[in-house]
Amino acid sequence: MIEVQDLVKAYGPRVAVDRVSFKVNKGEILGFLGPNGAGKTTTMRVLTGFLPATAGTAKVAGYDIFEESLESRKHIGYLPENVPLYLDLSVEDYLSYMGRLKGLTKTALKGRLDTVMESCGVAHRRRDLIGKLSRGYRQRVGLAQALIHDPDVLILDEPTASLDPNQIRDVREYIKSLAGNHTIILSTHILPEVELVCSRVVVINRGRIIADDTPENLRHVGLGGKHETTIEARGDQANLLRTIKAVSGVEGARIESLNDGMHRVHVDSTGEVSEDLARAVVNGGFGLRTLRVADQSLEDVFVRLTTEETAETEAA
Amino acid sequence: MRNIWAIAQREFKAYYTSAVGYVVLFCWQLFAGLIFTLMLIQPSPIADMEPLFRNCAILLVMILPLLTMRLLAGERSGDQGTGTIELLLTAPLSEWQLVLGKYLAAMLYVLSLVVISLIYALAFHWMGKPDMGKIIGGYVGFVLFSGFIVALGLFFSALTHSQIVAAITTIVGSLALWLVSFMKDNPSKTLHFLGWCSMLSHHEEFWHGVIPLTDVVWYLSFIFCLLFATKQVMASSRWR
Repeated sequence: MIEVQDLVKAYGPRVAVDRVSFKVNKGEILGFLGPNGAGKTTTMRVLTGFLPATAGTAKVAGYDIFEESLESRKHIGYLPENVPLYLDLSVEDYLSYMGRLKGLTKTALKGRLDTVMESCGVAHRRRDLIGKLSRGYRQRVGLAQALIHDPDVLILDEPTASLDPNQIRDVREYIKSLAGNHTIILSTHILPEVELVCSRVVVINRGRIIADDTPENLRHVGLGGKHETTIEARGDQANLLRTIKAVSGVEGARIESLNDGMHRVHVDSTGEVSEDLARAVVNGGFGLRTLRVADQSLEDVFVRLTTEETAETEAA
Repeated sequence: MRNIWAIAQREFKAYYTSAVGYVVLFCWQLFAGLIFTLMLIQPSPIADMEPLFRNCAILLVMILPLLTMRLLAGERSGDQGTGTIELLLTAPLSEWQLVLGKYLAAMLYVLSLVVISLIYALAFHWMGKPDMGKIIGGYVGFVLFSGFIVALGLFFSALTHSQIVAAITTIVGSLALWLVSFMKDNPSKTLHFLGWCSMLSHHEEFWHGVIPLTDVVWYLSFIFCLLFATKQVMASSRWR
């Protein structure tokens, strides 16, 4: 549905997006992840036709965004980061204006207005001026605007920014429910959001893609195949360490003594060994109190990926 | 076409939901009413709208830029919204549609000024025997003159993020074009050409109730060129 090939966007000498390539299949939700200033917004602005690219090509819904800009724009619903709204219009007037600009006929517009306002939770504020709405409501009106013409492709630049936790949950659920019929790119720097909503993640840093994978795989890759398990057990220290090291897959273990005869062992292993470890410890007659698989979160992966990259480029 | 109309409607309504529309309307009414009264209290009043048309040209140069400044600069600056130009440029909308929609909105507003001032034409018609040809010519000139200033204002509004800058450049630009009309009788070819570029050099006949084709064509071509330039400015943000 979306194909980006070697996209480059330079502002004078500063390269904001550097040879970015990725694909989004129909019905997918792609998370665009990166620290502030990584090039997420720039990439989205190029895709929506707001900014020209310096080099490279991109296709949205089968239309080249440079050659057939108008056609491709018909298929895109876009929520910009700053949520552009006309503060002097009511919610309903604003949405119908946007609908008409996007080519909806009067009858089509009528039906869509109710659906969109209902699903974005702004129906009860339809007659209020946007200027009088809170940040959270404005964000939702912005989202409604992106959805008004029922586009195939949704490009959402930080759709949950400035919402309260309940609203965030609602919006996330709603975005998830749109997958399948819609192809979605959403940018964020909130990591749990990516894990909850997206089926794929593209991590971008300093204008370059440094990872493109599912959230689960990314977590594994981030671990570099290494797993870390922590065990707390009672018994003879040397014996415990020997028993643990004997389990196949275990590469190393560090032991530390806690008070009241407990020991804590940090086990490094290749692959998942927690079940074998538990069996070995219990069969060895030790009192197993805790076994915790250190699950490296996407957050760690993200921090590692983005800081490693920075360190590398600075060294080079 | 639907898109153009959607934009024109929104902008036209915006004039009358903000203070600008009413302030300009007030100025126009005050000015027209004053001239009308001055003509009536003359020792021998003549049912003639020429003084109104003649004097309102300078008023139009001062107030129309206040209407056009918001049209494109306002979408950028976030004075009425928050960078709404991003919505317009990412909507499936050609630059022509955008520019024409905005232009149409301001011209509809100008027409509303015309409609309101018709009350004076009717009053003259009721009180005396005015030369209707002169009134019609005056109105045609009024609309063309306004159309020219609006197109100039729209062009400057496309060039900047600041509405104030858009208004000032339009006023100064119009006044400069006004002044060069004095050069139209100069024997030097360059100066004569400069004089020809002034809208005032093409206006005298309208006040006398004549609608000269050459002057109408002059106005329409200059308006078209300005709109084309505006369209190019808007499109240039997408040039690679």
